[in-house]
Amino acid sequence: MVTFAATYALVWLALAGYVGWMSSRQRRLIEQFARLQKQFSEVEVSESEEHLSLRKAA
Amino acid sequence: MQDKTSRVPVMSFSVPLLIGGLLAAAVWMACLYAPTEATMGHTQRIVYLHVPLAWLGLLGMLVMAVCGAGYLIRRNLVWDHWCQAAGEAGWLCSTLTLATGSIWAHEAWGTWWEWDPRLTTAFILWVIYSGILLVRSSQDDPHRRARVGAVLVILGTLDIPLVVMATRWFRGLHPVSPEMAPAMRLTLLICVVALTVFVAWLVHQRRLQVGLEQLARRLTRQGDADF
Repeated sequence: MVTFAATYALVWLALAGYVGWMSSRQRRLIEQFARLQKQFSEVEVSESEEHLSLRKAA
Repeated sequence: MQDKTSRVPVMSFSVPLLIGGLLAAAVWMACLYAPTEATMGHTQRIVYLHVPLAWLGLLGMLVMAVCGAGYLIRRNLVWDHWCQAAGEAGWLCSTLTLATGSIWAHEAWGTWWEWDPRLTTAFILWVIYSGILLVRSSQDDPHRRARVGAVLVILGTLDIPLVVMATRWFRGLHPVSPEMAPAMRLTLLICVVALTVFVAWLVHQRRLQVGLEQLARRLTRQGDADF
């Protein structure tokens, strides 16, 4: 009984570990995309400000 | 009119719920529904996990081979994302097959390991999985990784007929296909189906993640080069 229970616990823990590892990678991925979005939007703002000042100058 | 993006996707809840239900039914059948075997007692119930895991270990390698061939023909990295996801899940199932088999062997034969043909070929499969994943992780260029991985996995599939036929072609300790009571057979079938559906869902989720990770890496590189 103990062997059977320990084996089942081992297998389900390993599968849960894989799901947990995937979740942690997903969290990191969401953070990475948030950083990228911020980085790209900052460039967009600075480019549009530059465009506006060029138009004013013209 | 309701905005499409604000709707809660039904699939995102129903699929995990369905899989959870299937897994719960499989565990219930394996632990309570299936009769206790006369000789080995409760330890025999390990077979309801060992067999599905072994099947998934083999299936993972086959899926990798098909996806590897798909990449070599189409040169589309989506095939490689499937390959990576199936490889990770297959490696995990292969590892758990060896672990559960070893526990079974200790109870049934009084030894943790025996160089029996089925055990040896299953161990070779695990070594092939590990080698492919290690080689893949050492390659930075995604197309090179996909190419090398595809070639290795196609070579690796040569071990599959050996694993399957080991008990028939060579004499060993591993049982060929033991007689089972109908309730035990049904339990085994449900466990195979439940674990296959669960692992297929995991592979699908991981495939999407691998694709997004690659996109994030490309955007980061582009961002670093532009700004």
